[in-house]
Amino acid sequence: MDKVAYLLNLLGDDINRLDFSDVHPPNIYNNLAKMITTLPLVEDTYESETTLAQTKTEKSIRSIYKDIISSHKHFNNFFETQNHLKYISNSLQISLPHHYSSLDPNHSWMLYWLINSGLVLNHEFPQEITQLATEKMKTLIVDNGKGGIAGGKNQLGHVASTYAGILLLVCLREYELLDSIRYNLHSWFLRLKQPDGSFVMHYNGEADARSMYCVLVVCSLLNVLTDEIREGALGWIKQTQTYEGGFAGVPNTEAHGGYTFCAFSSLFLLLGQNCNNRVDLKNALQTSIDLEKFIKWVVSRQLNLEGGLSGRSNKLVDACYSFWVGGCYGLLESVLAVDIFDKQALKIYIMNCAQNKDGGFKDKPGKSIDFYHTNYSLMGLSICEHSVAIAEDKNINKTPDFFGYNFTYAEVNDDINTTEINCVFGLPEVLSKACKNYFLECDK
Amino acid sequence: MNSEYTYDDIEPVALNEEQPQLCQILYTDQFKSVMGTLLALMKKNEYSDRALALTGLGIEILPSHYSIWIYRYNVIREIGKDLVDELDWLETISLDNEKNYQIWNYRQLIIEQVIGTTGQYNYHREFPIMAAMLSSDAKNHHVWTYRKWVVSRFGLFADEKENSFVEAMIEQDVRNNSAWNHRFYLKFGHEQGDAATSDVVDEELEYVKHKITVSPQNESSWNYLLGICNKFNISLQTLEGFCKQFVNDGTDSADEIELIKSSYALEVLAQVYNDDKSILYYDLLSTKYDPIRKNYWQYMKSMLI
Repeated sequence: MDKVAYLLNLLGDDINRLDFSDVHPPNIYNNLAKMITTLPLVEDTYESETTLAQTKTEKSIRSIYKDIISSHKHFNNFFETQNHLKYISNSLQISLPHHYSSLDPNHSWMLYWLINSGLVLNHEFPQEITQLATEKMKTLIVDNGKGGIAGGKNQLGHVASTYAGILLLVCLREYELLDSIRYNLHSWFLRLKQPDGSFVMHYNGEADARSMYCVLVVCSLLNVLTDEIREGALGWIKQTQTYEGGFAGVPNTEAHGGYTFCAFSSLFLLLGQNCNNRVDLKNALQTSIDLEKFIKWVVSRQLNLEGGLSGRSNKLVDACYSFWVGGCYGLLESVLAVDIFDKQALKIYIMNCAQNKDGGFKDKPGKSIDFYHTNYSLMGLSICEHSVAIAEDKNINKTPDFFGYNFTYAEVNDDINTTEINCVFGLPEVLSKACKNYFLECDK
Repeated sequence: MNSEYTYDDIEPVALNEEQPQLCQILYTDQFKSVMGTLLALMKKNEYSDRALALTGLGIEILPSHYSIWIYRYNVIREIGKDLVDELDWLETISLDNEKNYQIWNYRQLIIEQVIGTTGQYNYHREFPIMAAMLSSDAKNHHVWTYRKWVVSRFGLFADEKENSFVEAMIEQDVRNNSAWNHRFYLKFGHEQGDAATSDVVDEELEYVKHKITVSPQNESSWNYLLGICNKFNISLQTLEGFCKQFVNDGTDSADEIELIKSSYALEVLAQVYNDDKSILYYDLLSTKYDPIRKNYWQYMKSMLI
């Protein structure tokens, strides 16, 4: 019965779109029934701003889940691949109304969010798009990379804009262009490096876990992750783990999903040198940070009713953490060789609460869709749809960033909408690997 | 444009306007003219009053435009702008821009300049603006991060007002996790924090336990409690009695453990016992009290010796 309804739903959209012979929509009834009944068991009647906001969010999500159950659908909303691609393509090509001026310092980010979103959906962009993307990126590179990459034309270089711009060029496989700027970027990063091992975002800018992560990622992908770049990095990151177990932007502040992702995935680019396999990496993580407390904090981000993830203790669900925190789940799954969170429940949140039927993704019900949430929801979805492991590798003499490039993936079931993404870089796995291999070859 | 000054001699640089291009923004004429002129002034390294005035306008239009902040900082240093006036101006911008990264870093730079030139800074000036910001968003991450900087820069760990402020914030919302983190820093974050007297530790244990009884299913207060135990090597066994009040546990049968007021208490007890009872508790968390973390509870079960 479920299957028939599901097929009818598909047919209603576009009869030629898919081959239906092997469609088995997972029955999510049991998950949902559990999710919407769990919380009341624990009684805590305290009321405050936090509990009022939480109750309001739960109310809107509970009604979405109840509707699914009462309509006897028992499967997720249909995944609107074509509409998401239409949203991506329109956003790239149709001029954006003037209120998008607020994103004027974020042009490299916009392109990365949109192009990467399409690639996560296995979309092949036509050449006129990729060419325009490269053209635009060229206008953002400051002085051949000697001043980094800017967020807009004629603006100044910024480490985060640089990270987004490099990721985009990796998406576009523009290796020659990357090669022409990589040593200049490396020198620029060294000028931004602080005595404590961290990096500032720009001259006189702030130094935090984001800038650390962005520098390490760019240097690793372009194969210029030198000792000078890495010096003091591990020690600095260690200081940002808080008493709660997550990581903060700077030492002694509150653990936060975004910074936690930056800190934890950075470790995968720093700890490879003396590790031969998964167990060695796990041991290295255990000596570097309080791993058990970290696991506890990161699993605590998943919310019982919502299924989605929050970024801090006692904060609301937000689809963007499907990647920032979800990425940590993927990385932990690879290290522990066990799945430590509820992938089905997160997928239920992304598909039914964050997904917009007409394309795009949003933070939570009641919010509007945007490029940022679209990219991180889709990557979060990919994490739900794949399991990740660390490949066995007999080769010794590993580089510090070895574990950024040594994952293997499997699909969790046959209801798959996304390609495998690499949780360290926030890119489709094939692309981070291809870029690294290109420069490893180059530097042989 | 600012009417006090003339910019006629400056040719605005192009924003991202070539056709065709991806993600083309339809800028308003005002946006194009202000930002284009600003970037042109920046390009020719002009440090002047008219440049300063225009950065103010640019930041008002788009506060997340980091290039303008960088430029403004260079301008005020070069022309020797009065730094206290600069802080005044900054406060007017801050209130409308809660999620801005640049404002707080910029504020630190200015204050460091003041200290660098006059040897001192009256940090009391910081409290009203932080209070105003936190009253509209009590968990504003940027403001709390800045507040931590103020505490560390001016050594306010034992400051009575700072301590009562954070106490009031927790009083107002015992689930304000940012406030708990700030408290942890005030009480235990000082360089000599590890030598915090056992009195402070005892006081804080009492304090947080009381807050847990007010709201037993509160992740923030439990994390604070466990954070203290972890930092000062206090055995979880010492929490057994405290945790038991939230778990009606007269029996070993899962069916009869009904009265659970806090899944966190159950979790601590599972760690305290480290035996068959722990298995029972982890299973209860998996199936009943915290099923979203089923995989984690099973992982914890597998770690039992």
